Amino acid sequence: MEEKEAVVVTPGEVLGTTSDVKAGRGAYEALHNSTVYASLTGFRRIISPPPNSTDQRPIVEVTGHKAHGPVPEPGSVIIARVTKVLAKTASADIMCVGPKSVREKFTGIIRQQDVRATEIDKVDMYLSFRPGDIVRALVLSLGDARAYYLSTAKNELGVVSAESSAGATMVPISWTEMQCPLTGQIEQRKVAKATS
Amino acid sequence: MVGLSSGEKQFIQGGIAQDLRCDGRKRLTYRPIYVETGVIPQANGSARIRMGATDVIASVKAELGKPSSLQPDKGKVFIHIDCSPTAEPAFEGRGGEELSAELSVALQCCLLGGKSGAGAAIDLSSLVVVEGKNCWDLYIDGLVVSSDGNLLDALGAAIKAALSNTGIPRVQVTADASSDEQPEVDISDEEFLQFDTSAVPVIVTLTKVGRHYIVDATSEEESQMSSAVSISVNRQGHICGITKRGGAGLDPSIILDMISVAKHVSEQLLNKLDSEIAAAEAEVEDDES
Amino acid sequence: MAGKATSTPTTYSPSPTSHKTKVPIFSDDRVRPDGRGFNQCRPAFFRTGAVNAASGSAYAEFGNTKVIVSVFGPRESKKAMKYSDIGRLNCNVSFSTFANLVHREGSDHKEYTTILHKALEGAIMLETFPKTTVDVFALVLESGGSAKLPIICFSISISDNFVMHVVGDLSVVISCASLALADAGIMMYDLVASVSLSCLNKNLVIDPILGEENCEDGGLMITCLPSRYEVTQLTVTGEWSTPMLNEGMQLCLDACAELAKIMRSCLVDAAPGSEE
Repeated sequence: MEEKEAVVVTPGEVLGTTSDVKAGRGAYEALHNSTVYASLTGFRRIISPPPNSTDQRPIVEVTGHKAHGPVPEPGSVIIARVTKVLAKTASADIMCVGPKSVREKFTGIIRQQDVRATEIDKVDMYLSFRPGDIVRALVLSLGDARAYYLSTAKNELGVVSAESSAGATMVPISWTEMQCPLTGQIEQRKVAKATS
Repeated sequence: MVGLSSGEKQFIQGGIAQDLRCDGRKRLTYRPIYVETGVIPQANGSARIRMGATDVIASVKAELGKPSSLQPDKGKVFIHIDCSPTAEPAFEGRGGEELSAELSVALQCCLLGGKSGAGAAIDLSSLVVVEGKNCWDLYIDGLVVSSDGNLLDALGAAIKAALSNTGIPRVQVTADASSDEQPEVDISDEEFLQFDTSAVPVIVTLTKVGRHYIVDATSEEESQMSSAVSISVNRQGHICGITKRGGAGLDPSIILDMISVAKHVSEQLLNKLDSEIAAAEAEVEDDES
Repeated sequence: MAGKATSTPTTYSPSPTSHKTKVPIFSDDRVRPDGRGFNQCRPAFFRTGAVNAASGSAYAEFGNTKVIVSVFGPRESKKAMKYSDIGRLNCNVSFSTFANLVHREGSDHKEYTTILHKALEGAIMLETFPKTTVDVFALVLESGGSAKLPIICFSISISDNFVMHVVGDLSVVISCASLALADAGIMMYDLVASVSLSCLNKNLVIDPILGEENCEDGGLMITCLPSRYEVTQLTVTGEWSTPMLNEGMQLCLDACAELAKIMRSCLVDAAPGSEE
């Protein structure tokens, strides 16, 4: 499938014409002169198109070199640590975007209506999150000037790890409850379904 | 801020492509220019320029100062532009500051010439009273009263008009001081020296919208621009300065093309401006007599 | 007053009376004070990865001019900033206290910051990091022989005569910044190369140093995207005839293309595993 070439290209280098190749990651097509340019420094790779697609141009991409730190975008699944819980919202610091950890601090908020999919008006924020919880969430939108809007309104989203007041990592026992293994105390959370 | 619907945007772009703009002008036609001179009595010279809804005032104040030690045989010129929030709410605070700074820098680039003084609007050595001791400091201030695009060209024209309206008091050196002291000078209240403004260039801004470029863009047209090149041209047809706005790249051949168009347009603009300034000056004199 | 600069022969030569009777700074054989030909740039040296803490960084040395640029981010925009769909570019240019002949407090230079910002923004794919900010911080370590920058600082520090010549040759800073952005992995349409040129007594002198610039009749600075062959910034001061300007622009563009080759080879050398 893949044909690897150890050619290092730099931003602005010509990779081909739009009639011959299609721009993949790290490359772009300039419409005014139908040329494909690199937009990153890295190795040029040419991938043959999937056999069933109508477009039979090979895809050229630039990979393998330093990319900038990940940035949350609408639709990306993130891991965040809850920092503050208020009556209507919970604030969280984003730690990972997809599989990559962020290099800079990004803040997100989970609004009351985005906590779960059903009975969204009856959500009690204090029974859903506590400061320090690790949650998996979806970036709904870029939000406002302050924070990204996050949502946990899916089964696999919500608290994935939480500490009890006794300081132990709790075990999920239902969609809404987690239990402390030391004291047996049960705390309320919006629990995420464990994904294998 | 200009809020335009996509229909309006297309209308503007389509009109420019067909050489018929929204206000009926062709791509290389200026709006009518109205010049008034002597509008600010406190200043040594002043002028107001109106082009459509764009309205700017320039004033020139001269103060006696000390030449810099690096250039003892030259006077000093300061250009500063102010964008008042009264013209547009967006000019309040940082927005206005940024635009003011950008316009000031562009005008300095277009009017002050090279380091050796070539291509400068004002011959700095003419501002010297006593070499190394006294010189005139010229403060050129521009004010944007109302903004409807093409501020740079309007300000450039206003400064040109203000300079031709400027009278600098004749100075008599009364006591020839010894080398260390400041010489005593006597500033005349009656005798004024006129500036030679023949070297002052005009600024022609070519705004690129789509594949074409236009002169004297309105703010609606400016909102559709990809980049704009301001070219200052003097009577001899020499280029005295170029600045570019907008981040989009331009092909070098287009820039060369723009320069030759600007040279052509500048001739008409200079003639138009000179006759308007002369008419305005004549009016002022009529009022005085 | 100006130190008379006798220790640095290639730079500033203050002679108050020389403005009227222009002292030719070139001897007849078309050789410049530092031994270069008219169409010869100073040797350029680039190295990426100069600062470990930054997302990307680059160091550039053109003769005596030494510049370091760090790129941070993309990171969260400051709270006070308005919401923006696309990314933001934040630039800053500062001078070290010892950058100039005259000691002065290192400080920010707004005009240079603006020019750097304008030169870079057209080359960066801002939509690839929505809502966030990329910081580009440039520090001029030494502006020993570099063009316009020192003069301006000079005129501020020595006198109150602040005549700003925007052409302010930031070309080294701009080229170095684009390299730092590439090193940080910021998506770009092209590298940005910048070259300046002076017109002296009808001679076109590329990559001028301080002494040459101080008596120039005209200055020209071009910032371009070398591979796309597009000009992003153009600043011209002084008096130019059209043929002269055409020639000057062409010279600068050719120099930019050469400069870009050096910059690209620097990036390729720095790429992991490219040694074999």
